Amino acid sequence: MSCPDYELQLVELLDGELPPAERRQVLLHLEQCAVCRALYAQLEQGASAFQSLRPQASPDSAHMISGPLLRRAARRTWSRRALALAAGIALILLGTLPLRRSLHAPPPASPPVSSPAAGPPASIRALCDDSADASVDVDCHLSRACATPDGCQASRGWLLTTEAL
Amino acid sequence: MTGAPDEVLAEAAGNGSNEAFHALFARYRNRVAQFVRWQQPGGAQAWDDVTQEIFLQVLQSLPRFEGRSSFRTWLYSLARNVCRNAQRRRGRRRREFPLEDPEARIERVADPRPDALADIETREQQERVGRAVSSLTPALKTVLLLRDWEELSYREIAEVLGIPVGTVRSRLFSARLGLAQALQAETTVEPGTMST
Repeated sequence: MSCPDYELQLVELLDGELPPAERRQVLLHLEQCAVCRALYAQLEQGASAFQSLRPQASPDSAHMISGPLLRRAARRTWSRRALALAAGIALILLGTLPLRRSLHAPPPASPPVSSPAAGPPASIRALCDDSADASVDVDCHLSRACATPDGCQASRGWLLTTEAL
Repeated sequence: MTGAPDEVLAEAAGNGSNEAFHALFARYRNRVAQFVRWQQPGGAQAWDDVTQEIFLQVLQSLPRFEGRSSFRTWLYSLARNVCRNAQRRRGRRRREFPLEDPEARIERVADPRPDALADIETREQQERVGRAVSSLTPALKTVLLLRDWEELSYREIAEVLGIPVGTVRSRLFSARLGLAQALQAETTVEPGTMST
């Protein structure tokens, strides 16, 4: 092997990326070749120079994420918690629906307060229209899914969900 | 918690620990911000926005971090994807940065610790290195960052950047040699050493 063949291996030697057999071969060549020793020294210098610029950790930088980032994250967390809570309440109430119906023999003649076909109420529509805020995506998915007849078991469940939101 | 390994912090943050996320953020913010600056064109505001977006996605994706790769490899892969998406959004296809004021770049690259500022000799050395670094292309600076700051293996760097391992090796060779030569050139044209 000539010196140019060793050039890239010098980088690997510096980074500890050479397999043992190749490492021994390159070290042997370095003992014999002043040109490659000088090149290796340059590579070492370049590496250590760059390492000297490595930024330190910023223990006082928490304030950097106390603004938009954490607000968005907090809203997303709240949205997910609200969704979980609303889903839980809806499941419980839907589960007790047959029992309530059996207790009140004649079903109520008046129509429900709202129906899925009527679409979401104004508060939900306003949420969904606020496309600038990504945190409402989850909320909107839920309301849209429930606003379709197939997406909801009962209009009452949909109303409960949107109220909880 | 601030001294815990990345993977421990990542798991805790994924389980909802704000303290763990803050520790990861403090550990990586500066380096990721520098990575962003070398990955894409734009000004300080655009870089800050992308850096924020990266950490927002980290926060949201940590519950799905499975530890199949190191946290740093995962973090920088995510950062690179965010940078690419940001570039697409802007409709820019340029790979290289526009030329900018070298002094401004040095300000960003150099360690801002007060004790470093007090040490004039260290400061001057950092400025020399900063100028030498600014002579490298973003592609070369990026592999240096991933290797010499983050200590990723060649395979991990290749994974993050989507390039062959051989390209990682050749870029590292060019970057380090170029940096050493730029530093030597700096020394030979040091103020006061030139004859008039």
